Amino acid sequence: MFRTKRNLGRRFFVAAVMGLLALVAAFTLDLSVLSLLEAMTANKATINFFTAAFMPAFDYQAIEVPDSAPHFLLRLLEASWMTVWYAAGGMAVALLIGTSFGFFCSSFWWVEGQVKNREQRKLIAQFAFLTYFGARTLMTLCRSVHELLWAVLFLAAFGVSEVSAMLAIGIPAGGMLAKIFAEIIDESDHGPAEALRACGLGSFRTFIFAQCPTALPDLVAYLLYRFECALRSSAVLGFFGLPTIGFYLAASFENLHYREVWSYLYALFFLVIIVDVWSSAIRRRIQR
Amino acid sequence: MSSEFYRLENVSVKYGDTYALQDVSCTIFSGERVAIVGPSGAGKSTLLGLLNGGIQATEGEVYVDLQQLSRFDETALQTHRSRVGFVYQHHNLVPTIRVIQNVMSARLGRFSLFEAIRRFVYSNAEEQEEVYNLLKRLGIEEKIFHFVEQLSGGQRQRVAIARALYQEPHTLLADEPVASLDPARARETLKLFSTIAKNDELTLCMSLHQVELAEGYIDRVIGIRDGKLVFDRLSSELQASELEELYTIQDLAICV
Repeated sequence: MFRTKRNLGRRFFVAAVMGLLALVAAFTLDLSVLSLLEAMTANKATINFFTAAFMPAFDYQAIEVPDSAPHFLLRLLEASWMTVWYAAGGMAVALLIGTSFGFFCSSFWWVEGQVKNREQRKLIAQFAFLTYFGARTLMTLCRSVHELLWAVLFLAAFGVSEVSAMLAIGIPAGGMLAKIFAEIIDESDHGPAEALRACGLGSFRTFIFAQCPTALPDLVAYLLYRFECALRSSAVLGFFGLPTIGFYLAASFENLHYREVWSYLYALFFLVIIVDVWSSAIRRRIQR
Repeated sequence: MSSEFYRLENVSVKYGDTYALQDVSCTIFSGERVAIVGPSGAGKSTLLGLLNGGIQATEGEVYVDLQQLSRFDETALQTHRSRVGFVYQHHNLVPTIRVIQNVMSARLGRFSLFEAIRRFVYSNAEEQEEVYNLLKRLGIEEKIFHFVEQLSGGQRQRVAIARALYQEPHTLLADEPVASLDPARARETLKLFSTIAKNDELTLCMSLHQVELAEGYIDRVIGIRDGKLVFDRLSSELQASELEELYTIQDLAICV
């Protein structure tokens, strides 16, 4: 009872401090809602841009379009498809990294491993700790660099190609997958694994036959969430010249074709919704 | 029923500074059906863990088939454990896979990794038939291809029993198999364990809260309280007063 009271006090304190910080930040940055409105109404382009949101383009806004160009909606479809395509490629790389390193990043296989001989156990624990630590560090490196920075690196190395896109999306996502997969696996119920170990199965086999299937619904749910993130990254990579939504969006923006910009934004929005619906359908199927 | 199978000699198990079991000595014979009774936290699960080699004695010695368990090397211990079927209180099944996969998991330590994966993913007709016959004995053969998460608690327990039997065990251990069941179902479950043990000539050890439910299905009762052995009797010789004593002191403690 007393603990609850104290916690409440602390929560109130934290909230108050955060509010105070927000006020200080607003003053030092000289923010005011009025100036924001002023900026929006003063600039004609801004008004044009936001009003275009209500009438996305279904055809090219440009007056002259080369005859070879496909219909705008077809281009929209193609851009969306390429966005999915690059995201899927990136996730393939990420899944490879995530599953292989996820195993080493989890503490399941070396903490739980029962080795009777004390010397042997010590040796295995040391070796395991090294690989565990190494894998964790490597994965942290992977995900501490943002997709866009990876993209800059790989575009310099491989030029504008599928490979650079796949690696730019896949490496940071893989680092994230490995970390989260490892945590999901470590936190799942260890009962089934315990039962199989009692049947005489070793660490690796209890891992693949008991621990992974037990964790499967959560693993899949996270993987699909990550796919959604990959979609967004893939769209943004278009700004570097890859033929995804971002590429066309940037071009339309530069030509002041705001209605086209909104069409591309809505396309991305629908892609994310589709993935969301799809993933919740899959989750329902696994979790029954 | 005659040869000694498990023997505990002055066994203690310590977790940190507290004793889970203290100076326990008893013998369990081959093919015997034993109930371990006592109040919650008495050390029943620890005793079962000692028998299957999952828990090691801090002091004293456990003998399995006249051999010292502490001298077993890794392989011998694995072999021993693979011949002891353990039915957990919470069943410890993998919920996301099928019944047949859960049952077949029990033998996956015996094959090459490739063969183990093949059996796990794609079982052939012969293997399916074996599991089917096993499930049929337990009355849930129609559930063979169901996912475990679709099953009721009672059905899950039967799958757990099937998995334990699929190990081809010499001993069947059950931790609180009737803890959450009403008396009628509890009797039915205990009868099932007892018949299986008798038919397959298994040594059976179950931890129970109430020994009355197991009447007629067990040969011997071991009573423990606070980690200490209170009595060790053939079920026919068990005195009502002894059972009373096992629980009364705890009642007093609650009254105070």
